[in-house]
Amino acid sequence: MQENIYTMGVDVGGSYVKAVLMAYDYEGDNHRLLDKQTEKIRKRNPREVVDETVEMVLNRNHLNYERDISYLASTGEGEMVVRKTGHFYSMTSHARGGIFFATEAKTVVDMGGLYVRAIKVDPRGKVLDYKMTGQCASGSGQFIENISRYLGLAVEEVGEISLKADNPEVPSGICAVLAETDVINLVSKGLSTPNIVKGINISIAQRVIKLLGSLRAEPPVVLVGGMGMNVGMIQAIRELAAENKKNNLEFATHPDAIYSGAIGAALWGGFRYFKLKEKNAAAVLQPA
Amino acid sequence: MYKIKATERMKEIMGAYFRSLESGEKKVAWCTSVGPAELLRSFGFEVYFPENHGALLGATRAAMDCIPEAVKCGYSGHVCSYTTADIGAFLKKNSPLQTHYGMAGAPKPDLIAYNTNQCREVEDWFHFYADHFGCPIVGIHPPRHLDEVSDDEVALVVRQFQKMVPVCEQVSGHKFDPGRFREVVRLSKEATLLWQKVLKTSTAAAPPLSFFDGTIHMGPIVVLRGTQVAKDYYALLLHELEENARNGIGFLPQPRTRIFWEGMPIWGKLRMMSDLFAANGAAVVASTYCSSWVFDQFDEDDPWYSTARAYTEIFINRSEKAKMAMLTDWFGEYHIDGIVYHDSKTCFNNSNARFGMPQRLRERTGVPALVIEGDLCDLRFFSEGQSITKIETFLEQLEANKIYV
Repeated sequence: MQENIYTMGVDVGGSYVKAVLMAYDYEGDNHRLLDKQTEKIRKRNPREVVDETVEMVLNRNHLNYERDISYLASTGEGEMVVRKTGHFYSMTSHARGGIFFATEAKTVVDMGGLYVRAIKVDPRGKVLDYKMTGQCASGSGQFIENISRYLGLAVEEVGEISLKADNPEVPSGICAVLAETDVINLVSKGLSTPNIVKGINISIAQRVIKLLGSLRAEPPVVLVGGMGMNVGMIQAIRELAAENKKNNLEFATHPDAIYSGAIGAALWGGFRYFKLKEKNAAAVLQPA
Repeated sequence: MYKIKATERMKEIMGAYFRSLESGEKKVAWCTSVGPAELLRSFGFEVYFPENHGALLGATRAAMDCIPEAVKCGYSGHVCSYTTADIGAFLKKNSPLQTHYGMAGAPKPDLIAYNTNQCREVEDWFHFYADHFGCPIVGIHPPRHLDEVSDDEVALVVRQFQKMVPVCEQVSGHKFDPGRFREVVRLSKEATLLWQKVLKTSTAAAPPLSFFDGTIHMGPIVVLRGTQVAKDYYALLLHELEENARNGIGFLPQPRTRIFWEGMPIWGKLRMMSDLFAANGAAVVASTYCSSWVFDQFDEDDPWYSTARAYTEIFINRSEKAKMAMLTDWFGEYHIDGIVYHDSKTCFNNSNARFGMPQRLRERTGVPALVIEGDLCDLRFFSEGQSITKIETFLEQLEANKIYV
């Protein structure tokens, strides 16, 4: 029996490094996600964080980079990934990652640290069209992190706490600075933390719904990226879609949503590896 | 590394131009950049262009220090940042003209002339100086947003031009000389046609002039129209670029995509933008901005009519229908793969992405569009990180099919 082929995807974002290990059978017909790892960059050198994260995954699986990894694909800040076979643009990777989570998806919404992108995709994960949020950061995961720090919450708690809201108040959706001022006012007015957090999730969800409208998005929609794991955000998006009579938009999610870029990169890496293999095999068969 | 040799000559010319403004030998007229400079020059005025100074404040990133001074005087930080930066620099008595050209600052005007063919902001801007210096000011107010410019509309502008004559005669001390006017229009036409050919060298597969280089090399066509110096410079530049194009030498030898830039430059980020596009294999080969100084209607045999028509027909002064037709032609001529609209926060008149034109033009031409937010001078309206992400994503989209090896 032939051994597995392994590819890795490494997605370097503004705050986190995400790495995944993908295994293929020898012919490349089937793939499965073997392992995954997230590391917060904090104030460390991102290149070192990337190396540590990749090593962590390799060691856990008793693999060696030079010997066992057929393709290491970077995405995001690719120059931070020194050991790599190739690089894939971020949107291309997230689109493919979205299809990995929901094979029927026609729209992938990448909700990352710095912006939100709505991407129309074909069944192979090829990008057909896209829209992304404008300049202000109030539509980004980084904004949620800032606010959660201000409220004394861990960013992972934001989703669950949001579900407890009974009377949310929505801050400015135009500008992150205005929104932060609004949040300070809401705290001093005595509004409960769940209602503040839900309001923020609604504010970002409004942007997502607007993007989907301008893209003329088709269902099903899959929500990926770090904010795709925020259950409060997902609830807000579903509620707003219903209010806006966009009930036809089914929203799929996945607990590994934060890995969509890394997964997409690993899959594109695998695609490229097997294509090149096929090409080389054909060249060998050609008469000299 | 690709270099345009004529750049050195251009720097000499611009230096000499600025120094001439301070010589005191001639009266000085201030004029809008797409204003009736030829008429003013025919009276022997040295012509100074505050917009050029605005661009200099933007490019040197001095604008952000100056704008608050204008805001203190009641000018909103959301109106034209050429205006606020220029007025602020004047109030602070702080200008790049001092450090770059050894001048005391902007030369004192004897006459101020403006044309609202590009925006009404120039009227407020120039009136500030007319009030301050107590000097005469004349304004041209052509019809705006036209699909087609008719002879009646041109006649209206001709009459406005002609009304300038008595004021110019009085301030300059010279009688109007029709022969001299024709001569200046001839020189202006010849320079502008050479500039047009310079821009068109970038229709080549290996384009020799990027939009970003164009914003630098357009200096003489803005400030020295109607002079032999400008004409000679563009002949020199054209010779070099045509030779480069013939030899397949370009600023990006094998661009993967060809981009059109619509709207104002982001003056303080020209280098960053130029490097960003180049790093992604994209050649920004054409723009509405650099093309705004092509006045191919100029005709020395009919100087009043032809200058009035040319200044009224410029892109920025036209309807969406006319703009879309012009852009469609440029897309074909320059083999454009994608268009980037700069939605300039303080330049409403030269931002064309706010009323749905990108979508309509995309439907008509199939050319994908990206809108980036920024400003001509005020970098507080520009997010570098977000703009890079947007541009890279857009270029990636243009190349999307290449992933299928």
